[in-house]
Amino acid sequence: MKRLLLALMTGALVVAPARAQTVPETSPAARVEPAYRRTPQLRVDPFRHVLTPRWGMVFSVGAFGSNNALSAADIRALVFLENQDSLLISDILNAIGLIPLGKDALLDAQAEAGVYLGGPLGGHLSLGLSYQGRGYGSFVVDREMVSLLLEGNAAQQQFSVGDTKAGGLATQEIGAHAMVRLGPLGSEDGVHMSVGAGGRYLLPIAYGEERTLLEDAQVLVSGQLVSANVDIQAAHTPNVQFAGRGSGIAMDFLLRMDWPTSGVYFEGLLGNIGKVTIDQVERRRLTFNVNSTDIQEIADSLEAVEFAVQDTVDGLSVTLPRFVRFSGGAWANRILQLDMSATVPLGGDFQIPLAVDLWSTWRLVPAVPLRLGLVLGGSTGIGYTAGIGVETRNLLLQVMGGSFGGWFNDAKGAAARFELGVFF
Amino acid sequence: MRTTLPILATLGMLLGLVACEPASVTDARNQLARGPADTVRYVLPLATDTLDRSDLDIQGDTVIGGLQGVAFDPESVSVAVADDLQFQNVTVTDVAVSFDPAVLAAAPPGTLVDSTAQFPALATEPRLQSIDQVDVLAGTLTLTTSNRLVETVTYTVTFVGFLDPTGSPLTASSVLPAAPGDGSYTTDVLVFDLANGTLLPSSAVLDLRATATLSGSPLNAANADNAILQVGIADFDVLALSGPLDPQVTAELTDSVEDFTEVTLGSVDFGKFEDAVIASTLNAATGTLRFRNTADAPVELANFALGAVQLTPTGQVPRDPATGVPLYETDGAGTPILIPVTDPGQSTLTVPRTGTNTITVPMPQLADRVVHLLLGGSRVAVVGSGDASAGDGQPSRITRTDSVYLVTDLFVGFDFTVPDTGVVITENSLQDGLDFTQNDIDDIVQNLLVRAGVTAVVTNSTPFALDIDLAYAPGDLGNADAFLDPNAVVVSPIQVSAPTLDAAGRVTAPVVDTVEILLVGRDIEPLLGIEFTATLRTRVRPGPGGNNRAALGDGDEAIFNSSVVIDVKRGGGQ
Repeated sequence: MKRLLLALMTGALVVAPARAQTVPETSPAARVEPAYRRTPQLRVDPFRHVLTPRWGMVFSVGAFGSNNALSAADIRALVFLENQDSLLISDILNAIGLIPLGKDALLDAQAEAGVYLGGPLGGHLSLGLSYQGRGYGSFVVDREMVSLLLEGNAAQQQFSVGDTKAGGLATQEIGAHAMVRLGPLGSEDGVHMSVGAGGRYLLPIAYGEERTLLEDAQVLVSGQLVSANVDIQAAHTPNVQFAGRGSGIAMDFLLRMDWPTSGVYFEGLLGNIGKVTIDQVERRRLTFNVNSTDIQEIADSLEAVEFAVQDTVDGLSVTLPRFVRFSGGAWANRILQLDMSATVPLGGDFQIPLAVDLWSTWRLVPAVPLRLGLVLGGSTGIGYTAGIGVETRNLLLQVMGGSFGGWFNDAKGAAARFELGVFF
Repeated sequence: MRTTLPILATLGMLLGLVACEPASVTDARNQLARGPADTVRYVLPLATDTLDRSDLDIQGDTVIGGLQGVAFDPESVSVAVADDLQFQNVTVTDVAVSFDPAVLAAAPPGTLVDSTAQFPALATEPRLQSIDQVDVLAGTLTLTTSNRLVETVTYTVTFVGFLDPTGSPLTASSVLPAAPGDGSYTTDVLVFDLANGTLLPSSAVLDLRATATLSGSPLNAANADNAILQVGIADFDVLALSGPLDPQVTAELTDSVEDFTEVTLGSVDFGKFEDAVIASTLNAATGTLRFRNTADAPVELANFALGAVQLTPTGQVPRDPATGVPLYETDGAGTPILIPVTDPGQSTLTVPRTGTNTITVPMPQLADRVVHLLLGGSRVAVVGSGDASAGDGQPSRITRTDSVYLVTDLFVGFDFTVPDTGVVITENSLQDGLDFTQNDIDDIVQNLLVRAGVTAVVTNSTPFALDIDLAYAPGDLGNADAFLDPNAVVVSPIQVSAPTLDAAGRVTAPVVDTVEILLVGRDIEPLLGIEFTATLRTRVRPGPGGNNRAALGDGDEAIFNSSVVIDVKRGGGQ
């Protein structure tokens, strides 16, 4: 809730000053298709193609991934050493040492690819249909376990396993979204309100997860005793299967308010509200209890540990990573549009940490917007984004990319999106 | 982990697009070491080892009076109570036959004299009077008959109560030549074989019949008194005796007995304490002597004692040439070390008829001598000798095969008098290493490990202080001393304090001590390979207060609560 309030305040700060400025009717900015004013995202946006300017089809592929420890150069170095058969224990420990102290070790990724068909029906209604594949993945090591690795156990001996887990889900989705557009309300300069809702029917393709079954599992590592009670469940679908592996429903909602003559908007998006149930999930379990003062005994116990097949279950429920995104923007300037959005995780699996995206769209050539942006938060702290588009009456082309946590070699995350749309 | 791989792959693919491949392994390594230089300390429990009696590898592990001890294999000797029982010079009969001189003088020539008489046999042998029956193994009865009549005498003797193997009384006839009449005797000797015969002393009677035809010589009347003498002497070995046997009456029931049994080195195993035993004096040892008597007569052992001898090369008991007494091992004063075997509070030991008797006697001096002789490579025997008496005046029976068996269970307690310099126990052991590759070993030693230290908190309730020298070297050195290996790592000496002891060398209260081992650099390298040989030299010294005496109680132990501290360096572009 704190993060939600923070995001609302941030949006309000952006919107409030922007409303004070009036956009002349003759301004090029004012002539930008309202659909194109909705700045594209590198992140998941289920309403992205409902707001196409006219009926058409869009192909889109995008991926987003980041971690908070290893840069691109680090990963290439690890791969290089491995390929050279020169990877040493000290290299691995040095790599582990790059996890920021006091933080969870995070790794998350999302990817999607699909085709979208949509457009307006009259002046107040837009429809969008989609067929896409989507994947989520995350890996989290609790900060206390990270602390054990990074700081040793001279000062602290009790460590919480916390929410340490790893998982991934791939789905194919058929979606339908609609948006009702009303306005201007009150006056010619009044607000244009858009209310959208939609749903997606999900078919899981593959799934895997490892997590502890114990709440607040603790590991004690001291000079006198190592005590750990570990109960890990690994669940996965044994193969990739496009049908017959369960289903799910996800809902998305959007509320958008535009003040075109003022050149500002505010939008709230509640996405990915739903669950998917997965069949034919093989569950394995690893139980490890150690309470020993003998390091050899501990080593022997660890050597003997292995996952044992537990069962195969149907109807395993996975909650999709819910989020709410508050966006606001202004395009008062002739060529410049500024956007800010805060994506707040609302629970579920495979969550991505709170991140704020700042975009500036430059329409030096109105149909060829250039975009530059910053990302704050997430797993990497700060990131840089850029993109270029072709937004015409009949053609949409978007190429976007992001480098998170640093530039190129120093990047700890990256994102890319490519879209190609044709409108009739 | 399998779910993590796709995520890593996605991220790697994305990031790989924007990153350049390192130019060299060194560049790649430096890239990963870009973090700040840091040293991280990991503290892990190494082991909680308890050094107690189970670690001494003793076979025959036992407890004696609260002391840790070791039991010898049981040793047996047997004391035969009647294997050489014999009677000699037994006077069976001593008869004198006289005639009336007037009758002999008046008898005309040709008069036939036929005299029959019965005489008690064994009447002068109290040794046999309390015996109901004697089964004879072998022996003879020699009957000497003398005649001083001038007539030839024909005589027949029958020994009632002296049975031949068929159960018939011994009987025989013979002729006594005529004497010259001057008072001298002619003699005839009959020898009876007593082998496998039976004597019934209580019914022993000599039945004598003598006949002669008188010649009318006046000399017969002159020699009528004690005209015929008859003396029977028997010597025989006994197969069995029965009756109210009483050694007070029958001295033959008391005999000197002796037997020995060799004690071999394999009969005792001091395990890891062998070196300590060699260098120390044993102060506690107990023998449990289990006697078993097969005879249906109580057997009393008098002057019976156990001693030890060093056997001759041929395995014989050495003896004093003059006395034949075994050359027992002696104490510092030259006095033979002999352990008297008696019932508690008595001067003798009695084993009841067909029964057992068990006594416990302390024998530290004897055990110490035996142990040191054995560990010194000598052949050693325990000798039991003394006098054995069978019977108590009550109905009994002994046979030639009856014995008193003695089984000795010798227990040696770990109560030592240790020299001031202590004793050194050396032990080699082959240990598994952590089995790293050489590349990883070099990496750990050069790039990773700052130091490794082992700290052990020792709770010592043994009566010993320990000075430990440790060396280890890579590979299997067999029994070779790792200290002498050129690649050995010699660890700084470790000292474990000892508790204060009482006068008996027993621990008054455990002591807690902390010992540390620090390994740096290449010191750790042998431990990381496949295997290494460790040589441990432990100098065992007695704790204070016991005047060099240290007694290891059965519950005494040293608990090593050890942990390892590893400092690992990281980052800093190493």
